[in-house]
Amino acid sequence: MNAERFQSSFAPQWCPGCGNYDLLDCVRQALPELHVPREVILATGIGQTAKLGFSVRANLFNGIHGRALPLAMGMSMANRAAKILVVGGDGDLFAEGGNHFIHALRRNLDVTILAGDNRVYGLTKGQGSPTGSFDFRAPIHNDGVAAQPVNPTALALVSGATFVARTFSGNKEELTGLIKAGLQHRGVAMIDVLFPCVTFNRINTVAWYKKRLKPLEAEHDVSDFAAALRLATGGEETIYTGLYYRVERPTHADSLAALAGEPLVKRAAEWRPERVRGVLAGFR
Amino acid sequence: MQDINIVIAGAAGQGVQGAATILGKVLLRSGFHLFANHDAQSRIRGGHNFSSLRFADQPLAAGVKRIDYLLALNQESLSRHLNDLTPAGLAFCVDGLGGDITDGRLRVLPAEVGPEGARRPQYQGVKLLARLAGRLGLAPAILAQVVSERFAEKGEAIVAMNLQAIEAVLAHSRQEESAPLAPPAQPLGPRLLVSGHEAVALGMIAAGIGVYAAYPIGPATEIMNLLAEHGPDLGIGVEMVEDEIAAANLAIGASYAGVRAAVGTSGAGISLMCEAIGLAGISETPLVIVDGQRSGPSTGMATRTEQSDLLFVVHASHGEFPRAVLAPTGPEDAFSLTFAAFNLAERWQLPVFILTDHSLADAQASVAEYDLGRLTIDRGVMAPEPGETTELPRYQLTENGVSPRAYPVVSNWLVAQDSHEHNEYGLVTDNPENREAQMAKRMRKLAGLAATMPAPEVQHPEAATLLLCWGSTVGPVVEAVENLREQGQNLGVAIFRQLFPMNKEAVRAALAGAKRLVSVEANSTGQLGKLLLLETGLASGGHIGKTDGRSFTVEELVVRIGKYLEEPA
Repeated sequence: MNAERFQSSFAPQWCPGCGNYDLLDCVRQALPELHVPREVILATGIGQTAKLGFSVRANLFNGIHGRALPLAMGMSMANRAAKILVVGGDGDLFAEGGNHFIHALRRNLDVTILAGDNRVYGLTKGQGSPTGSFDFRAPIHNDGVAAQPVNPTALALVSGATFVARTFSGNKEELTGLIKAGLQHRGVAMIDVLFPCVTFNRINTVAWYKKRLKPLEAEHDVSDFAAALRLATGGEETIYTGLYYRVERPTHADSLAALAGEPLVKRAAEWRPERVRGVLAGFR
Repeated sequence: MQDINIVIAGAAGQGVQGAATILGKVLLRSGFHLFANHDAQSRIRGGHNFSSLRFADQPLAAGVKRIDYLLALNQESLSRHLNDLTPAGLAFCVDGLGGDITDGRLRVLPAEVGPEGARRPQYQGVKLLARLAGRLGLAPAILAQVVSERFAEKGEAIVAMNLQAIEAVLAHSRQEESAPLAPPAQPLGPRLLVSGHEAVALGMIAAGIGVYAAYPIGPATEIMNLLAEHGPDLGIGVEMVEDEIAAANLAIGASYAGVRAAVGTSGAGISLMCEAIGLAGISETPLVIVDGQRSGPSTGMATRTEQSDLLFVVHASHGEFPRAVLAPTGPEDAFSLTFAAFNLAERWQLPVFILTDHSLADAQASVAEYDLGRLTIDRGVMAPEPGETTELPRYQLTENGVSPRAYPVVSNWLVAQDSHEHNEYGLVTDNPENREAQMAKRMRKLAGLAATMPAPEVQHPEAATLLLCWGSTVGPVVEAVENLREQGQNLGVAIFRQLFPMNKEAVRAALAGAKRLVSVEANSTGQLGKLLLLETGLASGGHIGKTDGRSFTVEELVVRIGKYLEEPA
């Protein structure tokens, strides 16, 4: 088992020091401990983090901006045995994809979501993202972003996620462990991966994070929803990292009778025109 | 042809639809050909709704305006529809609704007919049906059977009450003369009474659909309802998602993962799906999209019909990519074209639109039971399975532009698909030579597909004037043309079921005999005429349009086509 099995020949082109490199490393570390490439599908959208999919040797569908989660839902319905990893940035998941984020979590879709959260738009050169702070200034935000930031960890909790974690891209050991735990979780696992944007975010720098990051206390009870929400919404003087919440609930596929048994994709023998015969009886 | 047109009218919630369903089955099982359409307002209670059921000894594909029998569930129905009742026609209502109407054609059913318990309003539909059955000489046993099936879920007591009411009304009706219509002498064999969108859903089931996604919207919700009802038994995952954007992306994900997938909506939903349609185009993912057109733009008239999305779906989404657009004309070809749409989508790896409209979606017609033996599922070219895990050249350059597919996870191929321009392995690149090669590959599919498209069906190809039509407009145009030909007009009809891409040579040859082409469509601008010019260079000489949201009737078209021939607009 080693990271090379998931190493594609596609070289990423992020700025030196970008948190996406750490995230990619951790994905490549975590996957081979649990899976072989053919078992895994990466569903991605648009943005710098979404491009990570090209550098992982596995199945890949790079879709459109914000829509990786519905794409993943279709994959999961067609093949509930597929191991699906959704990777996107804060614009992808919380701006264009905000609606889908809430509804995928409500459904407890059996996917692992890696949210690359650097609070800024890189590809379009430095606008504040939905997770950007209220007073983040940029050429188009003369008055600051002037909106309260989306809190991905809290949003995941209240949307019904059954596995919610947060960490920093530089905490590579913790991040790799969380990705593994997320992949092993049945249901939606949401991991908010905070990281710096060395080019456009002068506020939330590595030093800024280092001052605030603190692992969740060992005695934190991951089945305690209220405690998880309190810790997630306790301000940014201290930013706790680790697994906030985990609970077992039926997955989306578990809840649909049509998807019981063999994955749909393996039921090709049933796909014959004669299948409609019984339904026609109701129209006589 | 001998035909009778019955209108059942009342407020929403009064049971117009239930009565129409019962009467439809009774007429079907009595051996008649049948066409039924439904007119509803966008509300849950109140308003004015009516269903027209036309039956005959010959096949029917259109509604008429004239009414032979009116079953009125409220007083407003009488005041609205008596004008269209023929001089020999009759209107039926229960005691108390006639008011001060003195029309000699009105027959009021006395309140005391039938059991005491059946005097509540929910029984008036069944009583009026029994009254009509008596008049038309329909077999009481068939009516009793259909009513028993309909109310079986409500328990034996309700069924018994309905049957007693029917018996009493039939006994009462025997005082009057009956005026039966004989069904066709030759029995018609096994038949179904199916609406356009039920036929679409049935076609999807026959085609082996695995996943269907939608957001509720009329008139497409009927497809979702039927698939959801049978999904658990048949292994069809049906998901009502948060919006149409999610629906289209979900279906693309399911198709990529190896099952046949479709979405259904109306034009407003297509507007939201546009970006995903382009994704299916560039990622070469098979996708079937039903557009049940309704009156637009924007919310328009939400329960009313129109044929105004043709040029929209031909061009929907930015950039250029191949697609196909099919347009059924009724429940018979709605089944076969839906089945064919999935084969086309997978053979050519592209989005295929099934363009229906509100009128077609709701209208029911009797059809011969679908011949399943003639259908073959074709999932297109698949890559031979490799011995070990290997990257699939998913976008391999080929002569006809179609690259072999594989399904991820269940094969040893690693499958990469991409919304960006990509190389043969599905990896993003903006290399100019690669772009030209991949673009040309995709567009070769459009040319190849066009060459397989059949010519329009032309009736009376020698006629000087050919009327161009598609969708729900075809039925009434064909019947109006037969009427006008009997009056000596030199007219024919060209019926387009494969709207895009057009097979240029085949279409030109099919229309070559005509001196003049005139489009008849439920839109303002004559979109089929414009598309024909774009695709083949043939110019339509004029357009007979309609945007009032109601289906064309035969009488209306006889007048409008006749007038057009006198003075072309």
